Amino acid sequence: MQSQLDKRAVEQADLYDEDFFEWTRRSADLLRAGRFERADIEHIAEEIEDMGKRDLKELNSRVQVLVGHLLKWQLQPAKRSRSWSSTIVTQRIEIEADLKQSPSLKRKVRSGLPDNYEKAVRRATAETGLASDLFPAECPFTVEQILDPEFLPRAQ
Amino acid sequence: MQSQLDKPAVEQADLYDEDFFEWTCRNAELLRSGRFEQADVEHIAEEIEDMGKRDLRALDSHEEVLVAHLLKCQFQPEKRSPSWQNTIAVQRAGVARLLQRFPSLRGRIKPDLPMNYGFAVGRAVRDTGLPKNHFPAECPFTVEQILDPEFLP
Repeated sequence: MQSQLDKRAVEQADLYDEDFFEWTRRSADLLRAGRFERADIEHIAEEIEDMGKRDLKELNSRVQVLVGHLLKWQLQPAKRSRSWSSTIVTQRIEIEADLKQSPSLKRKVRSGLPDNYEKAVRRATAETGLASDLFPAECPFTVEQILDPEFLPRAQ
Repeated sequence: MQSQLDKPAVEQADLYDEDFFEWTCRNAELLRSGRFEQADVEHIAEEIEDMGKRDLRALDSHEEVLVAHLLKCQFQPEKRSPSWQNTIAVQRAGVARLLQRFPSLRGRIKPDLPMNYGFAVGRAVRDTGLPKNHFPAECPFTVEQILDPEFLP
C-alpha cells in the first residue's frame, strides 16, 4: 500500500487547502525524514516567513501606540494621566521583549519609523480631536528616545 | 565573503534562539532555494507541527465548553437559559467550522473525549457549585450527540 507520505509534493500542496491539520503533520514527518522532494516546500517556506511577518506587524503596532502616546504627552500636557504613562511603559516592555527575541527587528524599527509615525499621528488625532497639522510633519523623537524607558517628551 | 545562508545548519539552529525573526527569513530562503542541508529542519518541523496543535487546542477548547453546557442542561434543568443554549450553538458552530477546514481533526474527537470530558466536568462543577460526583464518571453523550445541532439532553 502506498503510504500517505509517498504522495507527490503536488498532492501534499492540495492538502494544504483541504486539510491544514493533516498537512502540518505530514509536512513535519517528511521534513524529519529528510524527504524534501515529497514535501510541500513552497507552503512550508511561506508559513515560516509568515511567523516572522506576524512578529513584525505586532512590533509596528506597538511602536504606533507608543509614539501616539508620546505625541499626546507632548501636545496635551494638561491631560497627562496614569493611563497614558501606563500605556507607554507597557508598550516599551513588550517592544523590549520582542527585540530580545529578535534583535534584527531593531533595524525595522528604524526603517519603519516614517510609516509608523504617520499611523501614530492618525491614532493620536482620532483620540485627541486635535487637527493633524498640529503634529510635526516628521517624527520628533529618535528611535533611541522612543525605546528609552526614561524618556518622556517636554510639553510643547 | 561568506553569505549568512552559507552557514552550517547548526548555526541556523542557534539563530532560532538568538534572533527568531532573522531565523524565519533565512530558513524560508534556504527552503525556497532547495538548500535543505543548510536549513534548520528540526525547528522548522517543530514550528509546522505546532501550527496544527493550535487548531487541535481550539477544537479541544470548543468541546470542553460545549460538553460542560450540555452537562449543566442535564443536571440543572431548572436553570436552563437562552444564554446556555446560545453558548451551545456557538461552540457547535465553532467545531463545525474547524472540521470543515481541517477534516482530519474529526479523527481526534473520539480519542480526546475522555480528556476533554474531565475538563468539562471541572468547568461544570465551577459553574454550578454541584459536587463532582454529581456528574457521571464517563461522558454520557456520544460524539454524534455532542455535534448534532438538534441535540439537547
